[in-house]
Amino acid sequence: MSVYPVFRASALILLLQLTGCAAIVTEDKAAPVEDLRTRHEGLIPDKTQPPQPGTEGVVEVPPELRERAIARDQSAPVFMTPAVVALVRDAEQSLHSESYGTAVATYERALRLEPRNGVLWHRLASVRLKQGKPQLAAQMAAKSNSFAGKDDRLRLWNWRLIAQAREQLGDHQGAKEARQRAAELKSRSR
Amino acid sequence: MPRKKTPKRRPARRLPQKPRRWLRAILAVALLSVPSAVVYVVYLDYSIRRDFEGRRWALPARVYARPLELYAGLRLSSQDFATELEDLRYAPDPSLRFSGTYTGKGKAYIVHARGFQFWDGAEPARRFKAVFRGTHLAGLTSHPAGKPLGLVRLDPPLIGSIHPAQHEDRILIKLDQTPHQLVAALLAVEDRAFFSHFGLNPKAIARALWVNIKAAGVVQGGSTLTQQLVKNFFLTSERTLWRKTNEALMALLLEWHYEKDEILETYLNEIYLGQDGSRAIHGFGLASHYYFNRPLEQLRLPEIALLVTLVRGPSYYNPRSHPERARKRRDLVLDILQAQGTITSDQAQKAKAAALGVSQRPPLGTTLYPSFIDLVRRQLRDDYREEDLASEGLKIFTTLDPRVQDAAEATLSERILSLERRRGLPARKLEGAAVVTSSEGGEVLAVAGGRHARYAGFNRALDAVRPVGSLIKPAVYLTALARSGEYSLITLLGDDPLRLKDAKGMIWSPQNFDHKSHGKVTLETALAQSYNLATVRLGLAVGVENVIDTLRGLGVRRGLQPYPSLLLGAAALTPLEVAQMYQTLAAGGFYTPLRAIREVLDAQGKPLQRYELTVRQTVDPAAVYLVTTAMQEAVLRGTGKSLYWKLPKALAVAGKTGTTDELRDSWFAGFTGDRLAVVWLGMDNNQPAGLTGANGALQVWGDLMGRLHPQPLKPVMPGNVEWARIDSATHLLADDHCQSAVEYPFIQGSAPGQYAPCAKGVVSGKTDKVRTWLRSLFE
Repeated sequence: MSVYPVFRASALILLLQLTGCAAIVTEDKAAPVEDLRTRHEGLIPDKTQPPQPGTEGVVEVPPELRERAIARDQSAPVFMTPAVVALVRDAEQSLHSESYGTAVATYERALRLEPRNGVLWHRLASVRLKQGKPQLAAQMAAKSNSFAGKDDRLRLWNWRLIAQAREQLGDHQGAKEARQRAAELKSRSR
Repeated sequence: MPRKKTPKRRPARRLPQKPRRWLRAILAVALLSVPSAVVYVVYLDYSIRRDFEGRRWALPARVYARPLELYAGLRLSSQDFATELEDLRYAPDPSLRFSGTYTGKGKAYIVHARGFQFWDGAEPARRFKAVFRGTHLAGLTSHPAGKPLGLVRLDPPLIGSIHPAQHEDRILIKLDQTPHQLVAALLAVEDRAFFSHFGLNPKAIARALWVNIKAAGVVQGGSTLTQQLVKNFFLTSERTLWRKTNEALMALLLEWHYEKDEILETYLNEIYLGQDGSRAIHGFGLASHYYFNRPLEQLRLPEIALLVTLVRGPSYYNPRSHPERARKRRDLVLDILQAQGTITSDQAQKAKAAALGVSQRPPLGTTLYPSFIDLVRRQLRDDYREEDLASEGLKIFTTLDPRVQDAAEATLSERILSLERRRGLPARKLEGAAVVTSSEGGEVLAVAGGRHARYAGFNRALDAVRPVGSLIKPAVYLTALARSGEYSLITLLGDDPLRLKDAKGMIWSPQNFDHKSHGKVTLETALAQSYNLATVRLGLAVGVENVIDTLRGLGVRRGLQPYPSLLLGAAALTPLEVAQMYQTLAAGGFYTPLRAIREVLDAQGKPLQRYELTVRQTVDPAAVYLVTTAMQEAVLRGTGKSLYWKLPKALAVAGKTGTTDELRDSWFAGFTGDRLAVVWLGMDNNQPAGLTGANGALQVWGDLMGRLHPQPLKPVMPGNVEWARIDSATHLLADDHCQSAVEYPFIQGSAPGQYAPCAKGVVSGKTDKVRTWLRSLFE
């Protein structure tokens, strides 16, 4: 969406300041990639923000997102727009109360705003899996992976999800392979 | 019986035989006719109830466009925002007391948004302030508190209704939503005693009779609204005594079965108020649109009076053809209202002074977007019967973006006109179609079925099955590139003449567009420049059947002939089908069925069905990435390069031109970061339009995208793709020392292993700066 150039620019500036670099002249391809891939970090509700009415204390943050919060680099700027953060909160709430249809609708709404957000695709895949649609869940996890770039942790979640989906489909060999991919990613991230 | 000779004495008192016979006959008839009368009345009863309930319970489906979602940072001009408010019929009102109002203009608006029940929850009515800066919505805050709002979803604009084929169009109105002045005027003029009579009004009939006798003509009617309603149900308008009796009986029966309110409401929706060619205008809801281009609730007193005028004779008092007559009677209606005390003399005076106010030309149909609604109907047909669609009051939420639709219609129509003139084509013959979708989500944002998009005629976007020409080529190259062991973007192909013999012994000798052969060319160049000879050779090498498999993977469902001519696009598809095919490319190899509908709710707002986002990886994403790169090259330096005369290069558009034999069809299909569009131009009678893809459809595409401000394209690079710098002379790996080098993406393992001789050379060269910059955009 149109916010990306603005956020990307400000992120770049912030990074420059933090790392104390002077003006970057050469094309450092590594730096821009990192910024884009940390977009999902804004998912965790910012404690300094006042809670939206009706959501105080209700949202249960899923385990993988909780891990992310701990590992979160405090200096990395937040990319997910407040609009999408609010939708994710609503979606997770619906998921928590087992209104899967509503959760799906809300995630689809979020995806209309940020169609290439790998975390949104991953969360939608999770809801699909909970709904008993392993085939679709696995495809959405694959779609999420396509946007993961260098984000190994997102890939890890996706491969775990794909493994679960394949188990549900009776594809034990495929599930094993998926678990292996996840294990490789886990060891790489250490 | 012969008369007996009677004696002189007086006979006993006895009825004569003949009269007894007659009496017996009369009694017999009377007795027999009672059951048949009863049967007849029962039949009338059944028939009037069926008609009445058929009308009453038939609620058409209401179709909505996408709701506009507002958030700070959204690319939205204040002009487009104003248009959206107009579509939604928001009224300017500084007090902002009611929802559906706004104040301000230009840089800042304060809006009292209507609440709306969506599938996933209720959006509350609320007041907010929207501040615009240039091309973006810069600030979104609650009003008057000023707290920042994350996301505001406006109510979705109503774009049309779906009616059953056999019923005419209606815009159904509810009694409690009808302006009270309309009801008052109607009753005052047509049936003052409506709420107290029993279906017929003997006093009114007597009075009318008396007045008509005095005037020696028919000046006044004595029929009640109920009788008029019954009359409306009949298809012909005979005025025989028999018909009138029937109508009277049926009016009585109606009143017996139904409440006054129900009858009045049905009347408001059924009364015949005009004729639009072959389409009859029934009901005040539709009449309001037909005469004034506005919904009933927005009409003012003089306009309401005019509609009531029409009840007595829609053609006689047609304001467009007999304005004087219409005006006179309208004023009479106003006088009656004033005499009754319903309006003040001041109001009456002002209203009489007002012009008739009818719109110059009646709007065409009840929807502005017939081509899109057509697609909606077809997608619903699989899940709903036509009767349910048209009668259950369903609410259908679609993916249409009215701003994108407006842009598609305008650019198609303007550019076609301009091409016609500049190229001296016969007037009004050139036609076209356009489809626009969201590239990741597969939602259909706009469908233009022809150059006059507002007319519900032949829907070319969905039904014009035309040979696609070179648009098919990406599928050929995709098939090849998926075999990374054999092909890469720098694989050399021979763009040399060839002759093929088919089963019948006929020779097929394809030609390039410029009738030249280009010798050895890279695979990428062959696609970017759309060389036919190289493409056919490649396609034959990988197998036409395999190309068909790829097309199936891309989502093409239509039958395809497995002949070599398929490789040059002898296959015919509709613009929508082409959009589906390119959608899979735009989504990185994930097939997403195109959707025009998001969800369906029932009349009470309960969720019925969702049309959900689904994805399925059907073609190799790495191969898609390579083909997309080649299609970006096609627009940068290939057959599509004139696009960048009007659009910024930073968009990095991926696209393909398509031209068919003798220039009968002109195509362009392409996508940016968030939008995909397919444009076709041609003649309905299949005569050559004389346009190539580049000088025809591409021009429309460029105009269209120019108005949409799309995101630049940054194709997702799969993990098994890497870029390498290649020396143009030797097609081996290059470094800074090579004179001319270009960067290409490769599937892992398919890049050349050797370095070019220049790589160890001394002369410092320059790399293809544009290409390097392009690549940096999507990393």
